[in-house]
Amino acid sequence: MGERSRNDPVNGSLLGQGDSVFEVEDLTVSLQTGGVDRTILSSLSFTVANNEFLSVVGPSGTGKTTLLRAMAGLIPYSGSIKFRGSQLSGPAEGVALVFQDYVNSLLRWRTVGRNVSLGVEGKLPRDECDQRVTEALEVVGLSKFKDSYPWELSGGMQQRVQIARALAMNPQVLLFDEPFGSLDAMTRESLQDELLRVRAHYQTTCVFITHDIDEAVYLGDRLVLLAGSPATIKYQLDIPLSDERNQINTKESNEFLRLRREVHGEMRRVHGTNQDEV
Amino acid sequence: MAQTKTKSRFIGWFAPIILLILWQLSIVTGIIRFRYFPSPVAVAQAFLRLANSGRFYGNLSHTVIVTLVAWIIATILGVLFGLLIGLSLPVWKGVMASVDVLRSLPIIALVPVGVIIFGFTLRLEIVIATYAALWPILVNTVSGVRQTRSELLDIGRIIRMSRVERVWKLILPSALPLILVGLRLGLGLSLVLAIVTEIVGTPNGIGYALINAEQALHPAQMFVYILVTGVIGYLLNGLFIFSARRILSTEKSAEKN
Repeated sequence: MGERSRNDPVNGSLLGQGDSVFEVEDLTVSLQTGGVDRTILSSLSFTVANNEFLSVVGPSGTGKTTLLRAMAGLIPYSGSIKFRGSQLSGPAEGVALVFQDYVNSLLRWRTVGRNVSLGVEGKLPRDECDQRVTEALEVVGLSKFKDSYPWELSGGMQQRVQIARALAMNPQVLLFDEPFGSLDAMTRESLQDELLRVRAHYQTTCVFITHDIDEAVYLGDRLVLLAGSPATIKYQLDIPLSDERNQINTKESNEFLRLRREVHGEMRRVHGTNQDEV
Repeated sequence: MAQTKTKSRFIGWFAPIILLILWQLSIVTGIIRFRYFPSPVAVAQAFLRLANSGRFYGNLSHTVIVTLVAWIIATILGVLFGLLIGLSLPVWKGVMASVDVLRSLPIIALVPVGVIIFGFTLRLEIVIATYAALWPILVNTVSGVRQTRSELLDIGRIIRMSRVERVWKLILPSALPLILVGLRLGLGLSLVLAIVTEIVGTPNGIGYALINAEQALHPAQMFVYILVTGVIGYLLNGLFIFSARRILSTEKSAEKN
């Protein structure tokens, strides 16, 4: 499925050894909160394969966002995070991040088109830059709104602008931090489908954080469950659903229901002591 | 819509006109009887007389120019140091307490100090007016910079912008609304302090003319100058808001660079 549209020699081709984009080993992250060092993530090890969609679920406040920020190269860590074979030290070329808070992630003084070009302007020749913007806007269905301002758009559309901005950078990996968490249910479902379509178009590896188990199963090829304090990986699961997914049929299929039940069960098991958070 | 707008504008003129009529009537009928309290008609006559003399415009332009020069210097210094303080946590921790103390000092109390140092010179006027305008601009720039959303800063890093790019493309534009508030407050203060130093003794400008009129026992002229300062303040503010709107909207189109 999906034609491979990438023709970027730097990001697109040759993965180096193996087939994993990210190799995380023994990752531990401590952050200062209120002057106290607190270990948020403890000894995580996992890999993200090329072109894989990895869902990361866990109760809120577990440190999912911290994990994503570490993978984006935004915070110091101990242990090892290898991106395309080399140790990560700071934000890497080819990794883009989509935040939950779209309002504050977009530049309100820039038009939609100029928001999308933010990551490529000055780095690519002008016409190639324009072409990337046009393509990204087309893929998320916002071509008509190129000259609008973000605040003139609905929440779902603004989040699509953010996704387009990430796509325009032609990233090898897209990191999502609960991107649909503050959208209403209908918008969220349509964006989920759109994300699957976009990903097929760009053939991008995705790491997707959510606390919504249905969403994690529906979107993912594989799922990692993060829980505890400090958080560890409690459980991993392959999601052998077909690539052609659909809100109604997929979510009603026995396979989907089985996987969903299994993840819910695991979540309850590891998080049994305070269920109110689930 | 348009009709209600003109209507409300007309209503806005209603109160001052009634007030002027009452003022005139109470003097003509002798309800108010101060020796040096002029009627609106006398003020208008004094205005016409002054408007035909060259000195009036000299004083007027002096005050306006001092105000603007001081404000521009304060803008450059305020935004520059505001950026410096806002961008660096150690600098911020080091100087913010001093900034808060300095800006809380009533500036008028510093005027005599300025007089001792500079005498009644143009320099005194500009220094005092600049000093007054500096604080709101500086403080607003600092908080504008510090309020930049963490998401934007993260995006700057992920896109791997240079430090200069981050300031220019993310931090300054997102601080701009607050900086503009500071600029507007600074403009008002600059005008007020320019006039204060003129009243105290700098031999030029509206404030000086005002105090001259007082000493020459020309109350009608005094009122003319008071009204003129009001009009200057009003026009400067209006001009500022007009150009700020232009900046904010050309920022949108000019960003296409």
